[in-house]
Amino acid sequence: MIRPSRWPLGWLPLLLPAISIALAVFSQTLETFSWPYQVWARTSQLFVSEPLIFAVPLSAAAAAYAAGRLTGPDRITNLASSLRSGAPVVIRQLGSLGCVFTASYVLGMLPLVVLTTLTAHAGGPSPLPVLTGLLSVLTATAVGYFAGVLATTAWIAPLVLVLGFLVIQLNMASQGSFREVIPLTYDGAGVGQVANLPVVGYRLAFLLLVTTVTSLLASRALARSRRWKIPSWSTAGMIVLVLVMSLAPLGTDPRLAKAASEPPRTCRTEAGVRYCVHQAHRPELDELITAAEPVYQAYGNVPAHGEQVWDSALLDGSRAGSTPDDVVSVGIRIRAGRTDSMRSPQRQLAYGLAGSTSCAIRFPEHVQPSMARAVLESRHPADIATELSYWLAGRAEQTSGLRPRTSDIPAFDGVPPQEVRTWIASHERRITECALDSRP
Amino acid sequence: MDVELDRVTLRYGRHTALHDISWTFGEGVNGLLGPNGAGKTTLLSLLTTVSLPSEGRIRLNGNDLSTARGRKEARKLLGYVPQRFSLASEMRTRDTVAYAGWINGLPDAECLPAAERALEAVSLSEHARLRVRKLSGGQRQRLGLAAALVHDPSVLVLDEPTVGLDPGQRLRLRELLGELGEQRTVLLSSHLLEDIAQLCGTVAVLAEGRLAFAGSNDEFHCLLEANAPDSTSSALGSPFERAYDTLVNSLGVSG
Repeated sequence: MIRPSRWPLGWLPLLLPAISIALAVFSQTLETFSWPYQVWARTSQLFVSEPLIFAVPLSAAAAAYAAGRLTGPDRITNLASSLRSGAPVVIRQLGSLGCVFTASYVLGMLPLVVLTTLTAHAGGPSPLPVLTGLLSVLTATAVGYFAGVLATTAWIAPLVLVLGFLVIQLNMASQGSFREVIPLTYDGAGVGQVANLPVVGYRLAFLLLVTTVTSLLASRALARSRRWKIPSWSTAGMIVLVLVMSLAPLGTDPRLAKAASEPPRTCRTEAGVRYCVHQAHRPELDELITAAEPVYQAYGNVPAHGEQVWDSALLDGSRAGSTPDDVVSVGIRIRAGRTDSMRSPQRQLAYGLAGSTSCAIRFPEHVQPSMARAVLESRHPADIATELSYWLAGRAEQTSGLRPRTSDIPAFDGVPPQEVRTWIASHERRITECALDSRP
Repeated sequence: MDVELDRVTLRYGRHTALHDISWTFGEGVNGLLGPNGAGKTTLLSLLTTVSLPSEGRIRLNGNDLSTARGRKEARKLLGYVPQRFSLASEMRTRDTVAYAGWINGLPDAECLPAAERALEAVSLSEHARLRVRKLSGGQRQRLGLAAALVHDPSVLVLDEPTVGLDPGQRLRLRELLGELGEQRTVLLSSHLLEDIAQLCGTVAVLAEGRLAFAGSNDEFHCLLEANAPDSTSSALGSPFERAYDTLVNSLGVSG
């Protein structure tokens, strides 16, 4: 039994939100359970992703409710004249709320963490996103508690719930403008990446500051008989500091993640092509090779610019030209039970073999026509490369038994495959340099 | 346990709420009488360490309330029931008092036993497990008293504790306060002459922020008799109350 001196409101105001948070968080991780194996980068990143959508508003609203019920200025159990009024009350009440809600967040994430421990092929949890996720819940609890102390009524809780829900999704509405202060983003460190410490550190510092300031101001408010008064210089200073820290990064566009310096890899050479995947994606290597072979068959040989196929997690996508000349980059997606799981790597490989990667570098301003006919009639090298990539992908998909997509361009329509392959062989340098000026 | 006010003045900007008040009182029930708006609650906010005087000193058992250390020590000795207080209706009676014990300085392990003793002292033991919402007005008032008593304070400050109670509840509360005054210093603030006259050993009268009278209950009775209107007066109330009204009017305050 919990001692009433520790938590006098009874179990319900703690247990109900705690169960709701744990269930909401768990439900947000369910999609990942169908994957054949887990990846630590993705699991760690989930701590600052969808699960926060409900955990943040729920913990803030529940804390506001508890503060509203416990800390009314005329409560006999909360008189400013009491020996422990102020900080000890905040430490005890907010401490209880923060511990329970953070623990329920962890509990909601726990099944996925256990599954990742059992099935991940490389690495371990990334501490920064995990810490940011937990601190986000704690900060939301502190802010909600502070709102309840100031409002002196539990009726503030629904308003806090709605505001929390809106604030946590600010990045979604503003294309990530608040990524330095609002934790929920979708561009954190993936496989082969590490957190960008200055940016993530700033966010952690900001969350810590908000938690500290709201706790401190709640302590001050509770030590007075009147909740509202003209703020002191130190109070005003703290509020200004929070505002400055939250607004200062606006207009900047820093990256939350950067490429890892030496990502662990697994490689294998098949039919003259070296395939490499990040160790976290090791089970995908066979499937990648199976998917790639029909593309090479369609192409007719192994060109110089396609002697290696690398998992994009091994490359620093943020730096142009960082990919070696003979490497085609393929993004790996872990998806179980999809019949067309080969389609994506085949299309990416076809894109690379057709020289479209070079075209993107050589003609960065070129926009591919939206109409298929316009692509087919265009004499721009990038559009011819696009048509070639469609042809390669189409042939590979046919070999793999995949149904053609209705949206596909009828590339090199009516030209026999052998004739296209001969044309490819004779134009290989132009393909590599994105300098095609004719079609087969 | 002595409480000493030495030339205490409190100003809010240009308004002086309390003027140069000096009064010392000790063990037993002490009355602070005055009409509404006389400054009683303001004076109690100084005694309970919530506000600081603009001038003068207050000492509680020798602890100077103008220092942080003095206020901290004084809070250990103080129990306070404000004029208006609220209770979380979903909390149990015993839990409310136990939590009040913690916030008043008791260690966790001692809160529940102390709460049970305090509830027994105010005759609420049988309601210990009831939710607060199920208590009557008089029971709630006694619960407030139990919350102020739970840490066994040497000085108990009560602001208008009988307001809102029916005559029977008021009588029972007076009996209880009389018992409490046998072991500790009780300061009872009220605008009701009856409460003060029947309970208190010493009395102070506050009017317009000034101390109009401070002395024993006997001296206060003498003062009232001296101010008694003649028997043909048409004013309402008992002769005692009419004497008090006359006293207050003589101080320039309308009761």
